[in-house]
Amino acid sequence: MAKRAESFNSLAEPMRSLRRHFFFATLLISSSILIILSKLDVFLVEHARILVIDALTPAIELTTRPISLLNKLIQQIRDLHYLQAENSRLILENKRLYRWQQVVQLLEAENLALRSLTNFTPPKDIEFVSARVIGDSSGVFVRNILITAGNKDGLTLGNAVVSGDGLVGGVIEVGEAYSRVLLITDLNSYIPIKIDRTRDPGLLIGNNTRAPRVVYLPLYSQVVLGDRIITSGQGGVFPSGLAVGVVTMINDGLISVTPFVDWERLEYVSVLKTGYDGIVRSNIAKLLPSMIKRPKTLTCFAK
Amino acid sequence: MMRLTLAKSFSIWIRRSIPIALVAMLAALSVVSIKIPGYASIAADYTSMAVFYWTVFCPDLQPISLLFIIGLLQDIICGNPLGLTVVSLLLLHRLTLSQQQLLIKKPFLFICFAFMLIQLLISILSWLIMSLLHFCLILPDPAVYRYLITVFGFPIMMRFLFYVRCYVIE
Repeated sequence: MAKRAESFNSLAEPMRSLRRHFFFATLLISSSILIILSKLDVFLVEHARILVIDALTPAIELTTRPISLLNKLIQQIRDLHYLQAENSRLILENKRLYRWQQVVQLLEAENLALRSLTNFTPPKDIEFVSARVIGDSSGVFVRNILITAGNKDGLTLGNAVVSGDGLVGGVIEVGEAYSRVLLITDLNSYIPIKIDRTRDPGLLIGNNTRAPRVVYLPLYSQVVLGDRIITSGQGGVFPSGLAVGVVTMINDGLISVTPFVDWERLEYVSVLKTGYDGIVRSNIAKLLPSMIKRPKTLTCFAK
Repeated sequence: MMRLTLAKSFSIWIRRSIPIALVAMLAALSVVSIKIPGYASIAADYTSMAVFYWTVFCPDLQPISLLFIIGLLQDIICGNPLGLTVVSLLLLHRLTLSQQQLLIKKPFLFICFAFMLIQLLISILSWLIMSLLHFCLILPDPAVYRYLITVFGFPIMMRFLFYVRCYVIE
Protein backbone atom coordinates (compact mmCIF):
# COMPACT_ATOMS: atom_id res chain seq x y z
CA MET A 1 0.00 0.00 0.00
CA ALA A 2 2.81 2.36 1.02
CA LYS A 3 4.69 1.45 -2.16
CA ARG A 4 1.64 2.33 -4.29
CA ALA A 5 1.31 5.72 -2.59
CA GLU A 6 5.01 6.37 -3.13
CA SER A 7 4.80 5.53 -6.81
CA PHE A 8 1.69 7.70 -7.13
CA ASN A 9 3.57 10.61 -5.53
CA SER A 10 6.59 10.11 -7.79
CA LEU A 11 4.24 10.43 -10.77
CA ALA A 12 2.09 13.25 -9.39
CA GLU A 13 4.96 15.60 -8.53
CA PRO A 14 6.33 15.97 -12.11
CA MET A 15 2.74 16.38 -13.31
CA ARG A 16 2.13 19.18 -10.81
CA SER A 17 5.40 20.83 -11.81
CA LEU A 18 4.48 20.53 -15.50
CA ARG A 19 1.06 22.05 -14.77
CA ARG A 20 2.68 24.98 -12.93
CA HIS A 21 5.10 25.59 -15.84
CA PHE A 22 2.24 25.42 -18.32
CA PHE A 23 0.13 27.85 -16.28
CA PHE A 24 3.04 30.29 -15.97
CA ALA A 25 3.74 30.09 -19.72
CA THR A 26 0.04 30.69 -20.47
CA LEU A 27 -0.06 33.80 -18.28
CA LEU A 28 3.19 35.12 -19.76
CA ILE A 29 1.97 34.61 -23.33
CA SER A 30 -1.39 36.23 -22.45
CA SER A 31 0.36 39.31 -21.07
CA SER A 32 2.61 39.54 -24.14
CA ILE A 33 -0.50 39.40 -26.34
CA LEU A 34 -2.08 42.11 -24.18
CA ILE A 35 0.97 44.36 -24.69
CA ILE A 36 0.68 43.96 -28.45
CA LEU A 37 -3.10 44.53 -28.44
CA SER A 38 -2.61 47.58 -26.24
CA LYS A 39 -0.10 48.99 -28.74
CA LEU A 40 -2.43 48.27 -31.64
CA ASP A 41 -5.22 50.19 -29.86
CA VAL A 42 -7.74 47.39 -30.21
CA PHE A 43 -11.12 48.92 -29.46
CA LEU A 44 -12.29 46.13 -27.16
CA VAL A 45 -9.14 46.33 -25.01
CA GLU A 46 -9.44 50.07 -24.70
CA HIS A 47 -13.15 49.84 -23.94
CA ALA A 48 -12.46 47.27 -21.23
CA ARG A 49 -9.84 49.61 -19.76
CA ILE A 50 -12.35 52.48 -19.66
CA LEU A 51 -15.03 50.27 -18.05
CA VAL A 52 -12.63 49.03 -15.35
CA ILE A 53 -11.43 52.52 -14.49
CA ASP A 54 -15.03 53.79 -14.41
CA ALA A 55 -15.80 51.07 -11.90
CA LEU A 56 -12.67 51.74 -9.86
CA THR A 57 -12.87 55.54 -9.83
CA PRO A 58 -14.91 55.80 -6.58
CA ALA A 59 -12.41 53.52 -4.82
CA ILE A 60 -9.43 55.49 -6.17
CA GLU A 61 -11.10 58.73 -5.12
CA LEU A 62 -11.71 57.36 -1.63
CA THR A 63 -8.08 56.23 -1.36
CA THR A 64 -6.76 59.61 -2.46
CA ARG A 65 -8.71 61.57 0.21
CA PRO A 66 -6.35 60.77 3.11
CA ILE A 67 -3.34 61.14 0.78
CA SER A 68 -4.59 64.61 -0.29
CA LEU A 69 -4.91 65.58 3.37
CA LEU A 70 -1.35 64.37 3.92
CA ASN A 71 -0.18 66.32 0.87
CA LYS A 72 -1.92 69.45 2.18
CA LEU A 73 -0.23 69.00 5.54
CA ILE A 74 3.21 68.60 3.89
CA GLN A 75 2.50 71.71 1.82
CA GLN A 76 1.45 73.73 4.85
CA ILE A 77 4.61 72.77 6.71
CA ARG A 78 6.69 73.80 3.68
CA ASP A 79 4.77 77.08 3.38
CA LEU A 80 5.31 77.88 7.06
CA HIS A 81 9.01 77.29 6.66
CA TYR A 82 9.28 79.78 3.81
CA LEU A 83 6.66 82.24 5.13
CA GLN A 84 8.94 85.20 5.75
CA ALA A 85 10.87 84.87 2.49
CA GLU A 86 7.61 84.34 0.60
CA ASN A 87 6.09 87.45 2.17
CA SER A 88 9.01 89.66 1.08
CA ARG A 89 8.84 88.18 -2.42
CA LEU A 90 5.10 88.82 -2.63
CA ILE A 91 5.46 92.46 -1.54
CA LEU A 92 7.97 93.06 -4.34
CA GLU A 93 5.82 91.17 -6.83
CA ASN A 94 2.75 93.16 -5.80
CA LYS A 95 4.58 96.43 -6.50
CA ARG A 96 5.70 95.13 -9.89
CA LEU A 97 2.20 93.92 -10.76
CA TYR A 98 0.70 97.26 -9.77
CA ARG A 99 2.95 98.97 -12.32
CA TRP A 100 1.91 96.36 -14.90
CA GLN A 101 -1.75 97.01 -14.09
CA GLN A 102 -1.33 100.64 -15.17
CA VAL A 103 0.25 99.51 -18.44
CA VAL A 104 -2.47 96.92 -19.07
CA GLN A 105 -5.26 99.44 -18.49
CA LEU A 106 -3.72 101.77 -21.05
CA LEU A 107 -3.27 98.93 -23.56
CA GLU A 108 -6.83 97.70 -22.99
CA ALA A 109 -8.26 101.09 -23.74
CA GLU A 110 -6.10 101.36 -26.86
CA ASN A 111 -7.08 97.84 -27.91
CA LEU A 112 -10.80 98.57 -27.55
CA ALA A 113 -10.45 101.74 -29.60
CA LEU A 114 -8.57 99.91 -32.38
CA ARG A 115 -11.09 97.03 -32.40
CA SER A 116 -13.98 99.41 -32.86
CA LEU A 117 -12.09 101.04 -35.73
CA THR A 118 -11.50 97.71 -37.57
CA ASN A 119 -14.86 95.99 -36.78
CA PHE A 120 -12.97 93.09 -35.17
CA THR A 121 -15.09 90.12 -33.96
CA PRO A 122 -13.55 88.68 -30.76
CA PRO A 123 -13.41 84.88 -30.33
CA LYS A 124 -16.15 83.26 -28.21
CA ASP A 125 -15.49 82.62 -24.55
CA ILE A 126 -14.32 79.06 -23.95
CA GLU A 127 -16.46 76.92 -21.67
CA PHE A 128 -14.63 74.95 -19.03
CA VAL A 129 -15.18 72.30 -16.39
CA SER A 130 -13.20 72.08 -13.16
CA ALA A 131 -12.13 68.70 -11.86
CA ARG A 132 -10.13 67.19 -9.04
CA VAL A 133 -6.98 65.18 -9.72
CA ILE A 134 -7.57 61.75 -8.19
CA GLY A 135 -4.75 59.68 -9.58
CA ASP A 136 -1.24 60.70 -10.40
CA SER A 137 0.50 57.65 -11.78
CA SER A 138 4.11 58.29 -10.95
CA GLY A 139 5.23 55.62 -13.38
CA VAL A 140 8.55 55.58 -15.15
CA PHE A 141 7.21 55.25 -18.66
CA VAL A 142 3.99 57.25 -18.52
CA ARG A 143 3.05 60.69 -17.27
CA ASN A 144 -0.70 61.00 -16.88
CA ILE A 145 -3.34 61.90 -14.32
CA LEU A 146 -6.90 60.82 -13.65
CA ILE A 147 -9.49 63.56 -13.12
CA THR A 148 -13.07 63.50 -11.82
CA ALA A 149 -14.83 64.71 -14.96
CA GLY A 150 -15.88 62.66 -17.93
CA ASN A 151 -18.41 62.08 -20.59
CA LYS A 152 -21.28 63.20 -18.34
CA ASP A 153 -19.61 66.61 -18.03
CA GLY A 154 -19.30 66.95 -21.79
CA LEU A 155 -15.60 66.20 -22.08
CA THR A 156 -14.24 64.92 -25.36
CA LEU A 157 -10.91 63.67 -26.62
CA GLY A 158 -8.24 66.29 -27.06
CA ASN A 159 -9.74 68.87 -24.68
CA ALA A 160 -6.98 71.06 -23.28
CA VAL A 161 -6.41 70.79 -19.53
CA VAL A 162 -4.98 73.77 -17.66
CA SER A 163 -4.19 74.76 -14.11
CA GLY A 164 -3.85 78.27 -12.72
CA ASP A 165 -0.21 78.22 -13.84
CA GLY A 166 -0.49 76.98 -17.41
CA LEU A 167 -1.10 74.05 -19.74
CA VAL A 168 -1.20 70.66 -18.04
CA GLY A 169 -1.95 68.37 -20.99
CA GLY A 170 -4.76 66.96 -23.08
CA VAL A 171 -7.58 64.48 -22.51
CA ILE A 172 -6.73 61.09 -24.03
CA GLU A 173 -9.29 58.77 -22.44
CA VAL A 174 -12.87 59.64 -21.53
CA GLY A 175 -14.94 57.48 -19.22
CA GLU A 176 -18.40 58.21 -17.86
CA ALA A 177 -17.20 59.94 -14.69
CA TYR A 178 -13.44 60.19 -15.13
CA SER A 179 -10.88 61.16 -17.76
CA ARG A 180 -7.22 60.46 -18.24
CA VAL A 181 -5.03 63.43 -19.07
CA LEU A 182 -1.74 62.97 -20.89
CA LEU A 183 0.70 65.44 -19.37
CA ILE A 184 2.85 67.66 -21.59
CA THR A 185 5.92 65.92 -20.16
CA ASP A 186 4.86 62.45 -21.39
CA LEU A 187 6.81 60.77 -24.14
CA ASN A 188 3.70 60.66 -26.35
CA SER A 189 2.86 64.34 -26.03
CA TYR A 190 3.37 66.59 -29.07
CA ILE A 191 2.05 70.14 -28.75
CA PRO A 192 2.25 72.88 -31.38
CA ILE A 193 3.73 75.93 -29.68
CA LYS A 194 5.27 79.24 -30.50
CA ILE A 195 7.88 81.42 -28.87
CA ASP A 196 5.94 84.31 -27.35
CA ARG A 197 8.62 86.95 -28.07
CA THR A 198 9.49 86.03 -31.66
CA ARG A 199 6.21 84.23 -32.65
CA ASP A 200 8.32 81.40 -34.17
CA PRO A 201 6.27 78.20 -34.38
CA GLY A 202 7.59 74.84 -33.16
CA LEU A 203 6.63 71.62 -31.48
CA LEU A 204 6.93 70.78 -27.79
CA ILE A 205 7.80 67.12 -27.31
CA GLY A 206 7.63 65.36 -23.94
CA ASN A 207 10.44 63.03 -22.89
CA ASN A 208 9.18 61.69 -19.54
CA THR A 209 11.37 64.16 -17.66
CA ARG A 210 10.31 67.47 -16.15
CA ALA A 211 11.81 69.42 -19.05
CA PRO A 212 10.16 68.72 -22.42
CA ARG A 213 11.98 69.87 -25.57
CA VAL A 214 11.16 72.27 -28.36
CA VAL A 215 11.85 71.04 -31.88
CA TYR A 216 11.10 72.06 -35.49
CA LEU A 217 11.72 75.75 -34.91
CA PRO A 218 12.57 77.79 -38.02
CA LEU A 219 16.30 77.92 -38.84
CA TYR A 220 16.46 81.66 -38.32
CA SER A 221 14.85 81.41 -34.86
CA GLN A 222 16.75 83.26 -32.12
CA VAL A 223 15.61 81.62 -28.89
CA VAL A 224 17.15 82.88 -25.68
CA LEU A 225 16.95 81.68 -22.08
CA GLY A 226 13.81 82.92 -20.37
CA ASP A 227 11.65 83.03 -23.52
CA ARG A 228 8.00 82.21 -22.78
CA ILE A 229 6.41 79.34 -24.69
CA ILE A 230 2.69 79.42 -25.51
CA THR A 231 0.39 77.17 -27.54
CA SER A 232 0.13 78.15 -31.19
CA GLY A 233 -3.33 76.71 -31.81
CA GLN A 234 -2.15 74.98 -34.98
CA GLY A 235 -3.90 71.70 -35.70
CA GLY A 236 -7.07 72.88 -34.05
CA VAL A 237 -6.96 70.92 -30.82
CA PHE A 238 -5.64 73.39 -28.28
CA PRO A 239 -6.61 77.06 -28.37
CA SER A 240 -3.76 79.45 -29.01
CA GLY A 241 -2.11 81.54 -26.33
CA LEU A 242 -2.17 79.07 -23.43
CA ALA A 243 0.93 79.52 -21.29
CA VAL A 244 3.14 76.41 -21.45
CA GLY A 245 6.53 77.17 -19.91
CA VAL A 246 9.79 79.00 -20.11
CA VAL A 247 13.05 78.14 -21.92
CA THR A 248 15.54 77.13 -19.23
CA MET A 249 18.29 75.40 -21.16
CA ILE A 250 19.78 75.69 -24.64
CA ASN A 251 22.49 73.14 -25.24
CA ASP A 252 23.84 72.16 -28.67
CA GLY A 253 20.58 73.13 -30.36
CA LEU A 254 18.48 71.25 -27.80
CA ILE A 255 15.97 73.59 -26.21
CA SER A 256 14.55 72.48 -22.86
CA VAL A 257 11.45 74.06 -21.40
CA THR A 258 10.37 74.11 -17.77
CA PRO A 259 6.56 74.03 -17.65
CA PHE A 260 4.77 76.68 -15.60
CA VAL A 261 2.67 74.01 -13.89
CA ASP A 262 3.74 73.07 -10.39
CA TRP A 263 3.36 69.29 -10.64
CA GLU A 264 3.66 68.89 -6.88
CA ARG A 265 0.66 71.13 -6.18
CA LEU A 266 -1.57 69.92 -8.96
CA GLU A 267 -4.83 69.26 -7.16
CA TYR A 268 -7.52 70.85 -9.32
CA VAL A 269 -7.53 71.46 -13.06
CA SER A 270 -9.83 73.09 -15.61
CA VAL A 271 -10.76 71.29 -18.81
CA LEU A 272 -11.35 73.67 -21.69
CA LYS A 273 -14.22 72.52 -23.88
CA THR A 274 -12.67 73.98 -26.96
CA GLY A 275 -15.01 72.12 -29.27
CA TYR A 276 -12.38 71.60 -31.91
CA ASP A 277 -12.27 68.26 -33.65
CA GLY A 278 -8.61 67.80 -34.40
CA ILE A 279 -8.42 64.12 -33.48
CA VAL A 280 -10.00 61.56 -35.77
CA ARG A 281 -12.57 59.43 -33.99
CA SER A 282 -13.90 56.04 -34.96
CA ASN A 283 -17.45 55.66 -36.24
CA ILE A 284 -18.38 53.50 -33.27
CA ALA A 285 -17.22 56.17 -30.91
CA LYS A 286 -19.55 58.61 -32.62
CA LEU A 287 -22.43 56.24 -31.96
CA LEU A 288 -21.45 55.61 -28.35
CA PRO A 289 -19.88 58.75 -26.93
CA SER A 290 -18.62 57.01 -23.76
CA MET A 291 -16.66 54.50 -25.80
CA ILE A 292 -14.21 56.89 -27.30
CA LYS A 293 -11.13 55.33 -28.82
CA ARG A 294 -7.88 56.32 -27.19
CA PRO A 295 -5.49 58.06 -29.59
CA LYS A 296 -2.02 56.58 -29.94
CA THR A 297 -0.44 59.93 -29.21
CA LEU A 298 -1.62 63.38 -28.37
CA THR A 299 -0.70 64.75 -31.75
CA CYS A 300 -2.34 67.96 -32.68
CA PHE A 301 -1.97 68.01 -36.44
CA ALA A 302 -4.96 68.87 -38.56
CA LYS A 303 -6.85 66.12 -40.32
CA MET B 1 -7.50 14.53 13.93
CA MET B 2 -8.17 17.92 15.48
CA ARG B 3 -11.15 19.69 13.95
CA LEU B 4 -10.71 23.39 13.32
CA THR B 5 -13.48 25.67 14.48
CA LEU B 6 -15.00 28.11 12.02
CA ALA B 7 -13.34 31.09 13.74
CA LYS B 8 -9.93 29.40 13.62
CA SER B 9 -10.30 28.49 9.93
CA PHE B 10 -11.33 32.05 9.17
CA SER B 11 -8.35 33.42 11.11
CA ILE B 12 -5.97 31.12 9.20
CA TRP B 13 -7.55 32.12 5.90
CA ILE B 14 -7.18 35.82 6.74
CA ARG B 15 -3.55 35.39 7.77
CA ARG B 16 -2.75 33.41 4.64
CA SER B 17 -4.33 36.14 2.49
CA ILE B 18 -2.19 38.89 3.98
CA PRO B 19 0.79 38.60 1.55
CA ILE B 20 -1.30 38.94 -1.58
CA ALA B 21 -3.49 41.61 0.04
CA LEU B 22 -0.35 43.61 0.88
CA VAL B 23 0.88 43.26 -2.71
CA ALA B 24 -2.50 44.59 -3.92
CA MET B 25 -2.39 47.50 -1.48
CA LEU B 26 1.12 48.44 -2.53
CA ALA B 27 0.06 48.26 -6.18
CA ALA B 28 -2.77 50.70 -5.37
CA LEU B 29 -0.22 53.03 -3.75
CA SER B 30 1.48 53.44 -7.12
CA VAL B 31 -1.43 55.54 -8.37
CA VAL B 32 -1.71 57.84 -5.36
CA SER B 33 1.48 59.76 -5.00
CA ILE B 34 2.58 61.56 -1.90
CA LYS B 35 3.79 64.94 -3.10
CA ILE B 36 7.15 65.16 -1.40
CA PRO B 37 9.19 67.76 -3.33
CA GLY B 38 11.17 66.17 -6.12
CA TYR B 39 9.60 62.80 -5.39
CA ALA B 40 6.24 63.03 -7.12
CA SER B 41 7.48 62.12 -10.57
CA ILE B 42 9.05 58.84 -9.58
CA ALA B 43 7.93 56.52 -6.81
CA ALA B 44 9.59 53.29 -5.71
CA ASP B 45 8.32 50.03 -7.15
CA TYR B 46 6.65 48.81 -3.95
CA THR B 47 4.85 45.97 -5.71
CA SER B 48 8.09 44.38 -6.91
CA MET B 49 9.60 44.63 -3.43
CA ALA B 50 6.66 42.80 -1.87
CA VAL B 51 6.44 40.19 -4.62
CA PHE B 52 10.15 39.42 -4.22
CA TYR B 53 9.91 39.13 -0.44
CA TRP B 54 6.86 36.87 -0.38
CA THR B 55 8.27 34.68 -3.15
CA VAL B 56 11.35 34.06 -1.02
CA PHE B 57 9.63 33.53 2.32
CA CYS B 58 6.04 32.42 1.60
CA PRO B 59 5.87 31.34 -2.07
CA ASP B 60 2.71 29.29 -1.51
CA LEU B 61 0.76 32.31 -0.31
CA GLN B 62 1.26 34.23 -3.54
CA PRO B 63 -0.59 32.59 -6.43
CA ILE B 64 0.58 33.79 -9.85
CA SER B 65 -3.01 34.06 -11.11
CA LEU B 66 -3.59 36.82 -8.53
CA LEU B 67 -0.27 38.45 -9.46
CA PHE B 68 -1.53 38.53 -13.04
CA ILE B 69 -4.74 40.30 -11.96
CA ILE B 70 -2.91 42.78 -9.70
CA GLY B 71 -0.42 43.62 -12.47
CA LEU B 72 -3.24 44.09 -14.94
CA LEU B 73 -5.14 46.42 -12.59
CA GLN B 74 -1.97 48.42 -11.95
CA ASP B 75 -1.45 48.82 -15.69
CA ILE B 76 -5.06 49.92 -16.16
CA ILE B 77 -4.95 52.46 -13.35
CA CYS B 78 -1.52 53.85 -14.19
CA GLY B 79 -2.15 54.05 -17.93
CA ASN B 80 0.73 51.74 -18.81
CA PRO B 81 0.49 49.52 -21.87
CA LEU B 82 -1.63 46.59 -20.68
CA GLY B 83 0.55 43.65 -19.69
CA LEU B 84 3.78 45.53 -18.99
CA THR B 85 3.57 45.28 -15.18
CA VAL B 86 2.15 41.76 -15.48
CA VAL B 87 5.21 40.58 -17.43
CA SER B 88 7.53 42.26 -14.91
CA LEU B 89 5.79 40.73 -11.90
CA LEU B 90 5.56 37.26 -13.41
CA LEU B 91 9.22 37.21 -14.41
CA LEU B 92 10.29 38.61 -11.05
CA HIS B 93 8.28 35.88 -9.34
CA ARG B 94 9.73 33.19 -11.60
CA LEU B 95 13.36 34.31 -11.29
CA THR B 96 13.08 34.60 -7.52
CA LEU B 97 11.33 31.24 -7.21
CA SER B 98 14.17 29.57 -9.10
CA GLN B 99 16.60 30.81 -6.39
CA GLN B 100 14.20 30.53 -3.45
CA GLN B 101 15.85 27.49 -1.81
CA LEU B 102 19.20 29.28 -1.88
CA LEU B 103 17.93 32.69 -0.79
CA ILE B 104 15.82 31.57 2.18
CA LYS B 105 18.93 30.43 4.10
CA LYS B 106 21.02 33.50 3.32
CA PRO B 107 21.56 36.60 5.49
CA PHE B 108 19.72 39.90 5.07
CA LEU B 109 22.40 41.64 2.98
CA PHE B 110 22.69 38.75 0.55
CA ILE B 111 18.92 38.85 -0.05
CA CYS B 112 19.11 42.61 -0.71
CA PHE B 113 21.92 41.99 -3.18
CA ALA B 114 19.87 39.30 -4.93
CA PHE B 115 16.91 41.70 -5.20
CA MET B 116 19.24 44.34 -6.64
CA LEU B 117 20.33 41.95 -9.41
CA ILE B 118 16.89 40.55 -10.22
CA GLN B 119 15.27 44.00 -10.18
CA LEU B 120 18.03 45.25 -12.51
CA LEU B 121 17.12 42.57 -15.05
CA ILE B 122 13.40 43.36 -14.73
CA SER B 123 13.97 47.12 -15.07
CA ILE B 124 16.11 46.65 -18.18
CA LEU B 125 13.48 44.37 -19.66
CA SER B 126 10.65 46.85 -18.98
CA TRP B 127 12.71 49.65 -20.51
CA LEU B 128 13.45 47.52 -23.57
CA ILE B 129 9.75 46.62 -24.00
CA MET B 130 8.77 50.30 -23.81
CA SER B 131 11.52 51.26 -26.25
CA LEU B 132 10.31 48.55 -28.60
CA LEU B 133 6.73 49.83 -28.34
CA HIS B 134 7.90 53.36 -29.17
CA PHE B 135 10.28 52.18 -31.94
CA CYS B 136 13.14 54.14 -30.36
CA LEU B 137 15.40 53.98 -27.32
CA ILE B 138 13.54 56.03 -24.74
CA LEU B 139 15.40 58.12 -22.16
CA PRO B 140 16.60 55.68 -19.45
CA ASP B 141 16.96 58.32 -16.68
CA PRO B 142 13.53 57.87 -15.01
CA ALA B 143 13.94 54.09 -15.10
CA VAL B 144 17.41 54.39 -13.53
CA TYR B 145 16.11 56.72 -10.77
CA ARG B 146 13.23 54.42 -10.02
CA TYR B 147 15.54 51.42 -9.90
CA LEU B 148 17.84 53.19 -7.43
CA ILE B 149 14.94 54.34 -5.23
CA THR B 150 13.51 50.82 -5.25
CA VAL B 151 16.81 49.12 -4.44
CA PHE B 152 17.68 51.54 -1.63
CA GLY B 153 14.16 51.40 -0.24
CA PHE B 154 14.05 47.60 -0.25
CA PRO B 155 15.80 47.05 3.13
CA ILE B 156 13.16 49.21 4.86
CA MET B 157 10.33 47.40 3.10
CA MET B 158 11.96 44.06 3.90
CA ARG B 159 12.10 44.95 7.59
CA PHE B 160 8.40 45.91 7.54
CA LEU B 161 7.39 42.71 5.72
CA PHE B 162 9.55 40.69 8.11
CA TYR B 163 7.53 41.99 11.08
CA VAL B 164 4.27 41.29 9.25
CA ARG B 165 5.42 37.73 8.56
CA CYS B 166 6.68 37.06 12.07
CA TYR B 167 3.95 38.66 14.12
CA VAL B 168 0.86 38.39 11.92
CA ILE B 169 1.19 35.49 9.50
CA GLU B 170 3.16 33.02 11.58
